[in-house]
Amino acid sequence: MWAAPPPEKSANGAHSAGAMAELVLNNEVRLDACPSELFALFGTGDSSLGWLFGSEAAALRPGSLVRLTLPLGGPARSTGTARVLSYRPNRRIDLAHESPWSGRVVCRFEPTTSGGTLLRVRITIDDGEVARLGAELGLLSHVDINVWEVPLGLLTSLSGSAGILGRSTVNCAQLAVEEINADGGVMGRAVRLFVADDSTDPGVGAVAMRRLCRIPGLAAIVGMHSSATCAVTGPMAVAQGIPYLYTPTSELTLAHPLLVRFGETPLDQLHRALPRMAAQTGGSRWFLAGNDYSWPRAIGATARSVIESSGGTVAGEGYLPLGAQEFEPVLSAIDRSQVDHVVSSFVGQDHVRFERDLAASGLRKGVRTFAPLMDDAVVEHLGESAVGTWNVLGYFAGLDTGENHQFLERYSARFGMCAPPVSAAAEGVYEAIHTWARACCAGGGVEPSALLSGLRNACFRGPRRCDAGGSLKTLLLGEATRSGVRVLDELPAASRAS
Amino acid sequence: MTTSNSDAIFSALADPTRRAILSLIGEHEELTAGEIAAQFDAVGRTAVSSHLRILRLAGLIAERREGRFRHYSVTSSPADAVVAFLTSVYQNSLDQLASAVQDASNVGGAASGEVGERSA
Repeated sequence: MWAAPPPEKSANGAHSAGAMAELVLNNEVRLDACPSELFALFGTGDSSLGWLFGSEAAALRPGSLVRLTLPLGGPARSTGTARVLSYRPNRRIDLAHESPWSGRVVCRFEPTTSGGTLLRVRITIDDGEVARLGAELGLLSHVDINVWEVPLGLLTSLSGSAGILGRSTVNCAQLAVEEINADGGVMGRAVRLFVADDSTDPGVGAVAMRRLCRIPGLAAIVGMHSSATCAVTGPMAVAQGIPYLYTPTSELTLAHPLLVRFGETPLDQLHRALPRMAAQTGGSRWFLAGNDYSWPRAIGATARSVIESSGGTVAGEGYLPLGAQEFEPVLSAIDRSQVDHVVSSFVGQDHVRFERDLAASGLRKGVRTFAPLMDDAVVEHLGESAVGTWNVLGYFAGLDTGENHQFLERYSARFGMCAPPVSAAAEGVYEAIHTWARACCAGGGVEPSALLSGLRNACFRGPRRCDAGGSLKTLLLGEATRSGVRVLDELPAASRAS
Repeated sequence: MTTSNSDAIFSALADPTRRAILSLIGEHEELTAGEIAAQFDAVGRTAVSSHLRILRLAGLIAERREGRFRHYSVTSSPADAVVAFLTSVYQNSLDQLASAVQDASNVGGAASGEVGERSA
């Protein structure tokens, strides 16, 4: 929890400028340090400076990432991201807040006559985000749906370990919905998106899911979250008769027609890449590490079978709970087991910490990593410590095709040059929503029966290589470099491998 | 809105269980303490009562007594609560910055020069 505020409080004001406008908060504080001293403190990662100034900003340039640790109760909700939009040394820092909520934060440094600084912080949050945040905090508001609207839910992680993927996921969902609506909507009705945050926690996910299910006429829910949340929210969707489109890489076999999966399977990701990595290093020993829940365990089991059937050895395994802070037990086990490769299935923020610690420990030099969740967003967070890591996914932003260049241009045009980079997780949601809309049109309605019959023939030509219904034909082998993920090769999906 | 009220709302909402309780009450016109506790088996009745008290003191829910029963309903609007919550989140961060800067200047020499290498 946050420290008790000191007795001297500065004035602060807040107003909500009309019903359909944005929320503006003005906070300020007087400080006994001159503007240049204060400016230099921003982004140094010193948590004693408060979560905003104590954030981690490796660089201060337009578009660069700012990592935040917010005091929001429980470790699961505490991570957030922002991005530098612009700055003037010692005068002004302008940030786009991305998660757990989106908004704009402008810090102005005004010198005072006594040699100190009046720091003014202006926070702007748009109306839709205020409604969502109100609901996340437990305050429901009534939702009116017009007959010419089709409500579509998106359940994803805007906080907790997987929260670093959240904003680009919401952006991609928004882009798909806007494209569908510009193209006449679904059966002539406009799609309206409702976003909910599971905080990378199945319990919070269940509460968020209940909230989405209360929306009158909700046509479907797109889920981009952990399989642990899906194990809770999938059955809730079935009970409510609402189609659930689950998009991320996952081990789940969803045993109900209303549960539709789009993402990569563990075998898709591992069956060609692990033998190829071993052939490149000449090594045969592997360590399997990850968070301790069903997906990393499934990755571990699949990796073991792929490794052993191709003549390799699993020399050790280590799993830590979600939100882990201390990776030393796994790092020393890796060191002791003298392996050539690590399959690392940590999630989001945990993945970032693990790879950084692995690099810092010096183990990275003799050990190559395959990381099935290492997408473009994670590589951005990892920076130098990701270099050389491999992964296989349906999408990387570096994919050099006309469809992908056009998609990325539309994304930048819509969300600006400083928007969070598109990752496989986010792009998967974009394709799933387009595929859903095509399926509804093909099936002649948004009700489940029409959607499911239309899905068999629905084809959306996006950046991914998919069959009708959105199942992957081929995947991409990527390697992390200093400037992002480089696509090395195209590999067949496991179902298509001979 | 006063700052102390914002702080009370922030403290009340900075707990996942209290957010879930508030959400549950909001799905109904009114719920009794027993009905709420029944949905939060793992939390325990005493803890639920204490969560309800914190939510009530923050002005987020109202309590109505009828015989042996206490009925709870949501009183705050989402916009008001969001304003209070965010005001506190940001203001507390600035207050913490102020005390860190104050401490640094008290021990001699204002906080500076500890920025390391960065590409500005």
